[in-house]
Amino acid sequence: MSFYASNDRIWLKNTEGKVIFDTDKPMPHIIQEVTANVSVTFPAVGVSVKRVWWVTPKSIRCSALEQVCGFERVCGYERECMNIGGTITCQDVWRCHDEYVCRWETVYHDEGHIEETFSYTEGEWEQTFNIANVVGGLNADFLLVNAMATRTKRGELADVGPLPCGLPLGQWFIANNTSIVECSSDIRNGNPWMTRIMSVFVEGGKIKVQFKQSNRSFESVSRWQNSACSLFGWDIPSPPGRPPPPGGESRYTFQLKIQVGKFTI
Amino acid sequence: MAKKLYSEGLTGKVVIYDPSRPAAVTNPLANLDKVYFHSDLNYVGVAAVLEATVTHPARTRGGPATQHEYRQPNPVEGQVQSLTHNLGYVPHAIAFINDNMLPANTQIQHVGSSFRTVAIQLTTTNVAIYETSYVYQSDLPAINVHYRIVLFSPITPSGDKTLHITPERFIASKGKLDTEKNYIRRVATGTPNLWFSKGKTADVANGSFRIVTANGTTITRTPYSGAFAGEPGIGVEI
Repeated sequence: MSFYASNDRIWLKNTEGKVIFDTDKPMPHIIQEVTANVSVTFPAVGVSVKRVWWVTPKSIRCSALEQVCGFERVCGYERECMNIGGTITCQDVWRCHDEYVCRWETVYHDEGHIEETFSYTEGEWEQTFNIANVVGGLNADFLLVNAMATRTKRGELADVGPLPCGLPLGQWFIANNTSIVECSSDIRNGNPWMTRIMSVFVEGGKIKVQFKQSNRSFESVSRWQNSACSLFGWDIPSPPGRPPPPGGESRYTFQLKIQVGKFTI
Repeated sequence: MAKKLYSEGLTGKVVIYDPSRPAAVTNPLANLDKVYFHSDLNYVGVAAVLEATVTHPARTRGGPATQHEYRQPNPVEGQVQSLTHNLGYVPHAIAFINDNMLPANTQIQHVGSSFRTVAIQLTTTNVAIYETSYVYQSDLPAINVHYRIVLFSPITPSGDKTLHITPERFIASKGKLDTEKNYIRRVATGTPNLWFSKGKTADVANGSFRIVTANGTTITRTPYSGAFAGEPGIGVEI
């Protein structure tokens, strides 16, 4: 061990020669411990059903054997005989007339289609809570944060279904200083399209927790189709199996244990 | 600047301070700009440093003949590794994931739309690597990830020595300052062992996110469109 003291510096070394204290190197210490419970509702993303229409003319899927009736011009030779001076003379004469005719025929009708997807509108949202003032009006240098999350409502979005949350729910976890709460990716390429985070930080002498959510506009890969033949009218209902548009609202309560720290000079 | 070592036998208080401000002895919090060491301060000690390289197993979508639909991923959640500390309390901690101080629930792997995240779970006896995998259309191959978790503890006084100096050991204020303990100190130059931060370490915009860790690493996931720059952490050594 060695102890060194001069007018402007004091330091200590242990028996291995390692410096364990030095007035030239400030040391961190905890000036405040804060606990808090914060509940948050990550809002639903704006979503609507997008319906696309199109028609297949004279679709084979909409064919039917039908009796088709109408006037037709019917022509043919008719034997016409005349008595001229006691002599009967006959000849074939070409004659035409209109006749009402019915036939069984395959008729091809138009087929109407709809396709429905979920269309999400882009949105940015944030909510900030003041947890406490930093004690003594001090300017904090750092935070150490443990958190425990309880999910009270699990959101659901198109394509991915129930939203995954990678936090160990109901257990303490390291939460320095931002945590990703939920992230939903575009299943076509894996790029995130909706992300929710929690940040614990110091600003303006206050300890704050901020929740942020961001999503861009998005059209689901999941889609549902339905068709109908004009024979039966065009009032095509929503495709079978399509669920109500999921907006993804999730609710959490976070229990926070925060150590507020500062360095000596 | 002059520095004064003050030791009070009756209370066991030990202070190293700027003598131009005597009040630093009696009220250190209000005079922190003149305090180099004060036994009344609640210093951050290192209780343990736990390290492990974890093999996160391959996660498959269930077989080539039964490809999962988008709405039916193959989710896996739970601990993949547990490290024992037996401190008896839930410590505050800083975690390095492959040398980066990543936020909880950061994706450590993504293939197509499939992904794997980790968070560091804490109990009174253990630290656990908590994995969440959602396997959609692409399998996730096994990966090795190195974890280093620094657990903190308050430095509590013990014994009765106000000032004890021998060739082998220096003890002040009942062990608050002790050459047999590890203290954390700020690093002005060189490579810190870890970083402390008071600011946000991630942001979201345009549906995606950017991470700026306290140790200065930036991870931006397309199509993040914000301008988050993070806040530099304070590097320290142990």
